[in-house]
Parts: sequence; C-alpha cells; structure tokens
Amino acid sequence: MMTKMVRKSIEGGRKGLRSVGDMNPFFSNGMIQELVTWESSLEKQFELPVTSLCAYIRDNVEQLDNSGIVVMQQRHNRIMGAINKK
Amino acid sequence: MPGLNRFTLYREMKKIDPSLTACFLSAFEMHPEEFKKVFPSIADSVKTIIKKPVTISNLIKEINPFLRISAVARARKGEHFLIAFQTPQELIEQSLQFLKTGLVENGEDILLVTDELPKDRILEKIAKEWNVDASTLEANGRITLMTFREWHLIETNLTLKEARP
Repeated sequence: MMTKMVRKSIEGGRKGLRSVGDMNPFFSNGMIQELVTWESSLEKQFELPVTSLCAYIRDNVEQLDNSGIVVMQQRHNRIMGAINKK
Repeated sequence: MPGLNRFTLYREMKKIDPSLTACFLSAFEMHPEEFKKVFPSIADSVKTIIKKPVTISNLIKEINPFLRISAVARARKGEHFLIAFQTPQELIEQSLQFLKTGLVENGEDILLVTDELPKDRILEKIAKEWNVDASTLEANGRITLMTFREWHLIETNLTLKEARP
C-alpha cells in the first residue's frame, strides 16, 4: 500500500511520501510479537522517496525484550529517546 | 569564542543550518518574555534558556524534548527512524510538525496512522494550524489518515480478531 501511495504521489507531480506510524496500539492490543515482525519487514533506508517516522511512547518501548530492541536498532537508521538493551 | 558572543554565534550557525535547534545556558534568571523583548529576532527559535548551575541529569531532562524536535526537523528523504516520546500529546504535536514540513514545504503527500485522535479532530487541527484546506487535500489523496486497524488490516493482513476492540 505504501509503495502505491508513493507511486501515486510521484505520478501526480509530488515529491514522495512522508509517513508517521503510531506503533503504540500494538502494545495496548497485546501484539508485541506482531510489532517486532512488522518492524522487521521494513527497510532501514527506503529506496523509494518515503520518509517514515515510527512513533512510540517511551513507557511502551520499555516493554520490549532485548531481541525486540535489537530489531528496532537494526531496522531504523536513527533512534531518539534511548532504547537500550537490558 | 573570539569576536563572537553566544547570540552572534547562534545567528551564524542558523545561517548554515536553518533546522538547528538551540538551548541556551545562562547564570542569569531570564523570563522568556523578557528574552523575546531583548532578542526579538532569535527568541522564537531558541527553544529554552536553562539556568546555570545545572546538574547533568537535569540538563538531560531539559534538552531531551528538543533533541526529539531536532530529530524531526532533520529528517532526510528515505530515512526510517524511531522516536520514543514522553507523552501521547508530544507524539501527536511532533508527528504533525514532521508531516507539515513534508506537505507544506517539501511538496510531499502525507500519511498518518494513529488511534490517538479521531480523524476529524486531526483534520481540524491541520486546517487550523497549517492554514490549508485539509478536507480538499484529504479528498485529493494528499493527506491520508488511517486508524491502526485500517492500516494493519489492509497492509499486513494481521488478524485483529485477537486484538481488544
């Protein structure tokens, strides 16, 4: 879907897509493993003209175990708000 | 720094990098309104004035929100980055600021996936704060707002039956 949106943007003469994904419902829905799987599927650096912010609340991030934190560190090229291995 | 005071230095740095975020440290107590009167040209872009002396832990607490603002302002095309915000309000405000840059300054389309606010409230906020015709932009596909269920059900076929309503 994101690829389609980027293509539509470019074909419409715009410069690409900028997105924010609020990831916190994964935690409130008890879907932490699905979250890690989802983040694992995304590129660290997109080749398409997409700029993407994954937005978390810090208290939720602290629920991740070390393997989840490693995935976050591997799949994002910048992290702000300090998520550290326990 | 020889020949430059902190304010001149700040102005010169801003010329090089307009997205620079700055916090000042001062031994003097200075109310933000007083600072605005004395330095009107830079007051809006200086995020805070921290009174010295300050401990390292308090300094970190003071500047952390502005590091997140800076991270948002410095986003580069193609980046996939993560920010852990302190509160849902900060998440919404900073996310909208990030998206505003895309739509208004960069000519990009924008997508926001959140359950934090209803879509009509988000559109109202965008219309009011960005001074744009948000409804038309949404109708034209320039702005896309989705809930968590809408995005992840379509995009990832996650089974949300197990998820709490």
